[in-house]
Amino acid sequence: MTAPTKYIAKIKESIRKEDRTSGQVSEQLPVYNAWSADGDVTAELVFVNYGVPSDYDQLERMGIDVKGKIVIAKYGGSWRGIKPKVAQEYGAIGCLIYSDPQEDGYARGDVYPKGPFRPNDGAQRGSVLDMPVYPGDPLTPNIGATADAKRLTQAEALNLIKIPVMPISYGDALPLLSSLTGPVAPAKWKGSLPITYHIGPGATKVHLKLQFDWKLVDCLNVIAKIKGSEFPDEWVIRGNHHDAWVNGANDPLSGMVAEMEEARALSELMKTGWKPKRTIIYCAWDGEEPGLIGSTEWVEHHASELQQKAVAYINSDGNGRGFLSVQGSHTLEKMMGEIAGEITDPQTSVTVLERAKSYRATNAASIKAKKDILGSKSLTIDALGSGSDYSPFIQHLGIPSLNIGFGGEDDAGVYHSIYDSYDHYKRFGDPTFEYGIALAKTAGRTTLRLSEATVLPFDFKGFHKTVNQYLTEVTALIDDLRESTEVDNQLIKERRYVLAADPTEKYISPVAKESIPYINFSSLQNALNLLEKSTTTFVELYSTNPKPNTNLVTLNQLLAHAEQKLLSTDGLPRRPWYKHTIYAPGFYTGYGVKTLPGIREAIEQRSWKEAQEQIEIAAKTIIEYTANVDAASKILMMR
Amino acid sequence: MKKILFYLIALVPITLAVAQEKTITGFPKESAAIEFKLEEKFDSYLKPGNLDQWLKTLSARPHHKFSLRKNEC
Repeated sequence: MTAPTKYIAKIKESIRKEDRTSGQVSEQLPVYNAWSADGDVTAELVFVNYGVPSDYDQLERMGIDVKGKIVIAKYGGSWRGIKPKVAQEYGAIGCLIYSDPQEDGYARGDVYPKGPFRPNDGAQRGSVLDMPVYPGDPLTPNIGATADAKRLTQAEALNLIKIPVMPISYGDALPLLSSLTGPVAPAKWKGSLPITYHIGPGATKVHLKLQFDWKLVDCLNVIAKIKGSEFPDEWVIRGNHHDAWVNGANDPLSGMVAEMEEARALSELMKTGWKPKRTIIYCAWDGEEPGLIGSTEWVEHHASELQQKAVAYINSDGNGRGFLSVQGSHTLEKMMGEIAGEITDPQTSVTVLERAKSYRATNAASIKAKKDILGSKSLTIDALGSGSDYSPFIQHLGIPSLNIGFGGEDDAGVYHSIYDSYDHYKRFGDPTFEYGIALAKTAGRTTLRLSEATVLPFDFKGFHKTVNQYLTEVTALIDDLRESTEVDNQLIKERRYVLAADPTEKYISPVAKESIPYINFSSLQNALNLLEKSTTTFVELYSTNPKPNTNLVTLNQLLAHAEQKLLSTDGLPRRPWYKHTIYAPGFYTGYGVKTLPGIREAIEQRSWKEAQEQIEIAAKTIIEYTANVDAASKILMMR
Repeated sequence: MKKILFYLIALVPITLAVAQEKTITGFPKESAAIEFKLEEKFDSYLKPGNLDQWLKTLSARPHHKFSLRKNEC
């Protein structure tokens, strides 16, 4: 900070005697955001809350413009890469991201080393590559980053941020935020620092100077293959990343060591003479932290072979004490429910299914949601957005994927800091490693059942039910938006916002929006109707013929490749690398998923022609998917 | 006492029958039985001590992308 007073940020995490690896200063990556642009900028500072689009709408109401300014945003509310992306869209020339104690510091609990949460000099490193555009090496979209790959220039890479970005601790943020003047921040924007949160701009000026080493380096994935004894060209793939920002005990090693133990247990089984029916491939990915690089480049390089041979990809990442959480392809929800119903929770002796159900039911937002969860006998799995190495498998190649982990009783604030250490994990993560074993049992069974099944256990009925729910959501979305726009336009027309605002404070009324037309969902509704009939036929045929004696390889290929029918050739608008029409990370959420993303985001962006086009595209993929299910049913009819 | 013993004995075959009927989607009955035994054996090999030891070893030094280290495991 150069004005109104001088403050030089420490950008340093302290050595703490209770944390034996915190002193490895010369080997630690410094606090930084990977893929920030180089820059040397000085400008007025503006506080932008989480720095997501709705925060900039609020700033517009207050007559505050960030053009030519440096913004400071809180971590949270979205994936971090969204904050500089949106700041750049609004003309900011620099972006600071800080960890407010409300998110993962002293407002949550005691800070490290007394408790697990973020101390005042703890900072969150992390990538700000625009991953919702494409992950992996920014210079080689769609192809593996081999030595001789044709590379874009940095200027041509569409997912590189163009402004300097820097993460800081709340210790470093406090002098900056406490010097801000201008309007007091809205109540929802306030964090837990002992100050009045002002927005600026004003006298507070910040000088941000960043310079990075842009050399090309190797990524080292470890790939171990056990050749299948009966179906060697059907691959079950299991992965976790091994690279960390610093010591990485929770993220990612807590999941990595569970995967290693699964692999060792398989090797013990093989010593008894057992061989898997299908090929099993164990992977340890490098470069996940800077943007899913090791996995994405491997997937892109082996794309056509993977689309022929891969049955499923099973991912894990950080793991800890708590509740089972599974995200993934909904055709695998039934299988995961069966598995979860057979594994005992280490702390409570009920199944991990019952414990997960208890967590969801007690935390559900509405009475209806609670009742639905209590009435269901099976596991609910969430859809996949982004944030780990499953993304290239499912969203680029259409390979059915799962992300499995335990957590929720291991909340902490050391993510991407030097304090994500063995000492911290042993105290606050999973001290006895019983949840690491639970993960090994869960992911191990998933791998084994996919390897050994006579008929691959994809459940199309479950998939149909889930996608139908997504369709209900997007039809409600546009109806709700229509109604809220009508009401909002009336409020604007009658000057109600202006009349309700405090006349002593600056307030700019929103501008009326165009009324929302009705769009035609019938092609998708009809396609899903036909899919429902086909899935019912398939389920009935399978129940009477669970051991088909003909064309088993063809049947299993149809089952494994069904998900690829959900890909659209052109991919999503403005981000063609993402081809899945049902699941994608949100363009403005980053990690958070958008289901039926082409349709949903077009509605959110009020692009009606695009929404209609995306409905037709989704309908076409469902029709092709249904044809796949029908082809599988035909085989079951043969005796 | 005899009545309670009788009911308990009567319950045992029902419990066994329920356990035998546990199925796995994608597996015919006889294959499911083999798979359950395989998974039981798989579980028997898992040792939490290995996870602890490997976590300590692998997190002993910073290991960001491309931080090559000599083989110390």
